Amino acid sequence: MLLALSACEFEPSGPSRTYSVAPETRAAFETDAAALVAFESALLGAFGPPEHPRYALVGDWKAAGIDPNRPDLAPEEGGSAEIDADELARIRAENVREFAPELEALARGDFEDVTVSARRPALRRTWQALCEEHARGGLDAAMLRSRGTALFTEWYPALADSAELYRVECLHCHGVEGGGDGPSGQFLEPRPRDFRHGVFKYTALTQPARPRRDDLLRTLHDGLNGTSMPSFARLTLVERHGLADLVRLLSIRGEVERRLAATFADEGELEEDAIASETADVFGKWRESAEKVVVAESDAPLSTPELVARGDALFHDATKGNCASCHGDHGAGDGPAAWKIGLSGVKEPAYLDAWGRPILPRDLRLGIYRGGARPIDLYRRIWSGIPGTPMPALGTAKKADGTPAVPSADVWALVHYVRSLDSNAVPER
Amino acid sequence: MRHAAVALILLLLVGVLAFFAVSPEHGWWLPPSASTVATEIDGLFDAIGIVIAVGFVLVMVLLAWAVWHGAQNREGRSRSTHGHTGLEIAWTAAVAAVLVAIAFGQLPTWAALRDPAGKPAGGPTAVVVAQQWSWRFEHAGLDGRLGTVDDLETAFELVVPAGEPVLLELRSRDVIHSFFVPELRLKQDVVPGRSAPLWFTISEPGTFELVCAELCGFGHYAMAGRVRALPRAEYDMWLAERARDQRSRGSEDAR
Repeated sequence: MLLALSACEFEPSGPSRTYSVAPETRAAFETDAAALVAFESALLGAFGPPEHPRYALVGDWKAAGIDPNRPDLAPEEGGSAEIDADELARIRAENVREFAPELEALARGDFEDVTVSARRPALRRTWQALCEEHARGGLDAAMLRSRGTALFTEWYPALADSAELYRVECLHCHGVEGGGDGPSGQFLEPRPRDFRHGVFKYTALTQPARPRRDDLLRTLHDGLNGTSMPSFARLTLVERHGLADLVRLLSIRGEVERRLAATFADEGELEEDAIASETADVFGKWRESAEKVVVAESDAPLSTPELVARGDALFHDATKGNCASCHGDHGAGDGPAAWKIGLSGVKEPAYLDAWGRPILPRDLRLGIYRGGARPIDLYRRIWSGIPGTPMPALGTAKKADGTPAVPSADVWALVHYVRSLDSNAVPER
Repeated sequence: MRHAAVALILLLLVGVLAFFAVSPEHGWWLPPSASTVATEIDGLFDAIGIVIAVGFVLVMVLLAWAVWHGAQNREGRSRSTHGHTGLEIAWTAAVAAVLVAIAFGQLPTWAALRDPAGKPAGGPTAVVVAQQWSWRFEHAGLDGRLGTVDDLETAFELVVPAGEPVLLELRSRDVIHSFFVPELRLKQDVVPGRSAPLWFTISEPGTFELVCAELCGFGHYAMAGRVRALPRAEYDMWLAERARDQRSRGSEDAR
């Protein structure tokens, strides 16, 4: 029994971190230091500190059966049921493999052999609480065994568990606040994503939209080809779900901060419930995204020379695709519209992205497609554009009479033309 | 004193031999081998290990003998000699014979790994693209040929058929990486600007860890991947499933 307690009682102590506000926020509150302190503490109250992130302001949402702190649970269990039953079954099967030693020890009744890594602080605390209750005599061995088995089999990371995983795997590039300003991030080109704008480039959605869970999971599983964002397929599925939850929290926290900083800069004060209402609004936008998936009118056609030729014509037609204006006649990313002559008389990129950095069109000859290489992935890039960049949405552009400027079939033609530009492809043999 | 010294040397000798004798059954050894060439490589490893063990025992026993007799010789003077042609020829020839035997003994294995004559016919099953800090794979797809429109791209996981020769082409986009699958006993550097062929036959279906074995930047530790070998029928099913994914209109994302 003593052993069981000693195994349970260790509490990990990581280096302490605090969220700091973005430089723009600091600038907005420049004249009123007291208001900044109050704002920072209100944000801390609403989203928790980095070790224990949580949505504190879910009071009104509960009635609607929504609690983003528990995306895995059904509304009647106090969650928001964001993960479907099939996915939960996959997660549980993986948990059984991941926690096999713990589950075996529980089955044997060797509770002191059940050790939970400090990498999962919330799970560790829950197990510790069960052990303590057992030690006080409030829980007999059979109960501890069944509660423990359920705990590990049905484990879904709490935001605090994911925060610890984020600290280890993501923070050094994406930063404590998800500002894309981690210590390693400054050495990377392109820079890591700053989540605080709520803008994510590669999703399956018509824009503007916050990403769905599946969009974030795709990025986590496949990485972003051609960037330093690696694949995190080496983590378990449920860990990637947990990271997607945490990215959403960081993004919502950052967007609320940015919006309220702008409000304060305009009005010189913030309303009492400003954070609550902005959080509800931003969170609502994340919930809407499921309705915005881009589905093509037909399955992806097989590539034919005719289709590629049609795509070629559309690519260069200034009234249709007009792609060549930026991507260049040969798709090398050297079109005239992408460049300008700067004040110093030197040629420089004509556009900045949403994060304020110079941006150039993709060199399509490389055959490196960040948002995925399937035809439907390229279709979605062309149909919805790429948010945060000058890449426009062709699919939603309308002619004067209200008909689509580039119908679905033409987007497929463009897809196959773009794929044909890949000069890095292995020569056929 | 000399008892203690000799005992220490012999203890070390027995301890080291005992450690290696019990290692395999405790899992302190190479991971299970999973490719046809792995058996040969493990055979070479064991053979060379035995040669080294014999040399080690010989040296330790000689050392113990020298300590024992040297310490006993309190009064005597050491005998100064210069050169011994017969002895020198003997030990040079013995070591040379062992090295030549190893050099020729490993040739068939080297040939199985690297001789272009043994390279599987036809194009590569997949191209492996290494970049800071990910493995990506371009599979040849249903038609078995690369550079055609049905090529499949995956991140992290390379899927290959088990029980038949697989030819890979390794490329790097930035710095030197190294394609290392311990269970297949294969390690091949991937040099930017060059393409390295690599071929093997995986004996049984299974999943094997792939790591980068060349320090390639701060994300090197995270540059992991997986090689999944499927029986031919399942492999074809996997290809067909991914081919359907290539034709997708995206409706599976809309719920």
